[in-house]
Amino acid sequence: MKQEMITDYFYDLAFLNNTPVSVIIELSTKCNLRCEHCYLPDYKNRGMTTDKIKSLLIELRQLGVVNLSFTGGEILLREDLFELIEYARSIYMRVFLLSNGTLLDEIKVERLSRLYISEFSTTMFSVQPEIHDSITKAQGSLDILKKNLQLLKKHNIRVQVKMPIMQTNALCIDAVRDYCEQNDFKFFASPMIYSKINGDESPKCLRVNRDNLGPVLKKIDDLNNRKNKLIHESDVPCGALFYSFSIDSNGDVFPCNSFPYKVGSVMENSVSNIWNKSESLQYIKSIKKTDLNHCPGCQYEDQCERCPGMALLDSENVLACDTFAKSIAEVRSKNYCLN
Amino acid sequence: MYNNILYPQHISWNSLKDSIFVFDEITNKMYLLKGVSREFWMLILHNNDFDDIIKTLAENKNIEYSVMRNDILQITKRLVKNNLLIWS
Repeated sequence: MKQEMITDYFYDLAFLNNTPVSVIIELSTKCNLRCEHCYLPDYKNRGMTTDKIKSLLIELRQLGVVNLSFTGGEILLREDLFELIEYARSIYMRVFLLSNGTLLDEIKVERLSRLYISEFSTTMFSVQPEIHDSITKAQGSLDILKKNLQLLKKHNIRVQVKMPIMQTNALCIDAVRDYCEQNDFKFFASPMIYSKINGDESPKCLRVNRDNLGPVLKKIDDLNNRKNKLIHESDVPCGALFYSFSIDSNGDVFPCNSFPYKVGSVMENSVSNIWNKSESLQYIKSIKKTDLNHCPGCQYEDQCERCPGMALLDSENVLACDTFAKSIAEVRSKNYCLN
Repeated sequence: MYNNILYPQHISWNSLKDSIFVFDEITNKMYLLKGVSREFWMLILHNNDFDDIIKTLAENKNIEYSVMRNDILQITKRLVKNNLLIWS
């Protein structure tokens, strides 16, 4: 059977059986960088204890989770990171790491390679240090990142480079894409920049200008792999809500790490109870596209990649329009319109 | 002659309904196991002794031991060839 077919079957089964197969755990919000578009409002939370996370992993595994993503803050600031990865691997979970990539060294990369993580995902804004470092607010961060990416490559660890596109780095897409191609790194670029999760809208002023959005979208649509929709995804605002969720540094549970709508806390309740019985989560999952305030009848509905979390951040209403996604859909529609 | 069968360190896996999904973290390939392959895979989680596993499967399915052994040997060969199981 083709790999894509097995993957689709996996997520279809997860949906049909109400099984969360993917979870994101925020290990802490502490970070050594201060990226100007970051959605985190502060960098002080040390995260849950090692024992709490280990017991969570057992619970998650029993619930059906196999894809485990550790994010931050910067995950490598946690001294127990390798202990946690080792624990997850011992119960056969796939481990995906999201990191800024600046705190690796040869010993750490070698350890990661022996643990057979699934992917190391990081962020690169430009191959020009003055642009990348101006966004991370850390001089030398690009050089360190590139050196560490070479270590990951040397140890055959799969790498994904994500590139949030803002006005300041909108002209850097080709160069970052070329760097990734040369090194056999997966590349994903996106112009979706949103408010911080506490509602602070300051990152929105970093977005690509409307005038530049058309060419940027044309470029990234050629580069990013667009996936077919899974069986359940045509009627609901976000298909991922049916097989994944996110746990933050406090143990609070959210439908996704960019969806600030608390549906429970692992400090007060079991994961299984939250997944199966949380009324807030059931409400979020019950929303159909036809329930949305502005989408039915909108001329850009088909092209729009509305994110319910982002709509919530945008207007404090989970049923509202994700205005940035809509403007992207509008530009995209003009890009591909023949008349 | 090896008699223990083990999951190698580079795999991850998940049981979903009547299917097992096995992920090879080296090649990034995903495999699907169903039916007796799935039952065989699950038994390895609790007991690595190949003969014990065959006995259990033969009993569960009410099939002669030698027939079950042949079937499972074929399945095992394929899984070992794809580096999803190892003899020890």
